[in-house]
Amino acid sequence: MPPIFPDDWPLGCPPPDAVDPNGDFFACHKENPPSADDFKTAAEKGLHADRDPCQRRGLSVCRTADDAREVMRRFPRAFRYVSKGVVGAEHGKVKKTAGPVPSHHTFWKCQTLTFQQLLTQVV
Amino acid sequence: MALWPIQSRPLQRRPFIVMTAEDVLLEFNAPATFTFHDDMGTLMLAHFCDDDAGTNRYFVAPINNRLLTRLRVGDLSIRGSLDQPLSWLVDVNGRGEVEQAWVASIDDVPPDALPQPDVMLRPNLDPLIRLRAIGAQIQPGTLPTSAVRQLVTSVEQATRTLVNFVFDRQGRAGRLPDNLRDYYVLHAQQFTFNSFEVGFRFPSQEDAGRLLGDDLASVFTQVEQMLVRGLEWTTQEQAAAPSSDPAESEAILRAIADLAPRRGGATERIEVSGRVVRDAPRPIVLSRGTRARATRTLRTDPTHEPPFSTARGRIRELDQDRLTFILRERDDLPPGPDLTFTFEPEFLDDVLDAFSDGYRVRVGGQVSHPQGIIDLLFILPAEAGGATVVLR
Repeated sequence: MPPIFPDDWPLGCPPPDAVDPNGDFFACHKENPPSADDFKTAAEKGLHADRDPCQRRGLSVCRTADDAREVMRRFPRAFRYVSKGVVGAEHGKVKKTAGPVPSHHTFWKCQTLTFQQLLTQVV
Repeated sequence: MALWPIQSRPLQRRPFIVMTAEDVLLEFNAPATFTFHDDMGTLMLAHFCDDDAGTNRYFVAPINNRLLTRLRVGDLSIRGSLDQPLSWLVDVNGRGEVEQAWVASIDDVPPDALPQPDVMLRPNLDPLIRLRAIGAQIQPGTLPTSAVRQLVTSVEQATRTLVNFVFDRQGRAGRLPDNLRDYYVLHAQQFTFNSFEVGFRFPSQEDAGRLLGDDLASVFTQVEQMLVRGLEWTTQEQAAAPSSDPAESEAILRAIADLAPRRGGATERIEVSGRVVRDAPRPIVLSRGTRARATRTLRTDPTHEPPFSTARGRIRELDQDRLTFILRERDDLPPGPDLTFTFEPEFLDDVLDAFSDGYRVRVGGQVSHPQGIIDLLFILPAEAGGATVVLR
């Protein structure tokens, strides 16, 4: 079943060139176990309101644990842990986007799941 | 987890009202390292430190375009670019408005609030290897030049050893690429003088001013992997060899012997950091004992027992990048085969003299490479005389 995204997202979000996720994704977070705040998007936190409204609704993830650890090295207090999720097409859309590491992607999750349900394994 | 408490009192007059990201250098969920202009038009660099309940905390320092360029190309670390005489900690709300600000030196923030000193803007810019020379004579203001020379030549020689091995393994001797220098030239990326420390990296496309080929990237990757294995081996006291492949083991052990401090020099120990030891369980320190152990391991493996031999002839071909030469016109065994020698940088002047003046030399060395290449141990003008063992 294709993922359903929140009604209040901008038209065309996720972007048309976002693809179905397939496989392992890694996200950085501050608490262990991760709290709901850990995986809030910029839009959910009300941050950077001047930035691209669709990009703000996605979460930054990496395709490799090594890249996620590289992110931690650059923001060591804000990102202390890395969690892995095995993600499929039913969970949302992803797009490779500019970030600090080569495997950086933006992940737009469907409205029926939380990131805590998807990113379950602290690595 | 709440934002860390700041002991000093916040500024009555905020240095900035709004921080609107202009040039985003790093983005992760949102702009995380970016520039903005303050009300007076001064360019500022902000780096995300922490967040809690809708408040983001940044470390902010003035920056100029010259420093920004150095940050982008990896000549300056993130922390180095933020370490300025005047800097601030700034709490910002979701609309980018500054809620509170403090004057703060980079030394005032918790160690984990900012990246370590060797962390560059992007991982590919991090130093491949950083070497810190330690010794009783190595003090601020009294740094022996021999320690500087040894640190730089040791990493050059180790890299040359490994690059030559990869080339030999690829069967490329005799048809070397035009851009050969790219393979041997490491770039000294960072100098730290309180203790003498240098960070090195392979040349990037920016350094070379052109695209670097896949071949080059592949050789760099293999050299880096061998360095990782060798440095791991130094931490495993019971390990017999760093690789199950004897030839690879030999190249790695030679590189480790090149890197480790020599007896009699000012450097007693070398602390290694950088990308090659990122996953090491503990800091790696090379001592004079490391060099002895690497040499001993080479000797104890019967396949590494190199025969010692000498020959006499003229140096007719010299490669200053690979530090190799070919000895021809042999008169110790006419018509003896041409012999290829590899040598350490301290022999370069003697080899150059013999090559450019064309005089005959007597050379000696150990045949310790799979292709029969000889490690040069001495070079003398042929008329210096002495007994000669013929190389066949």
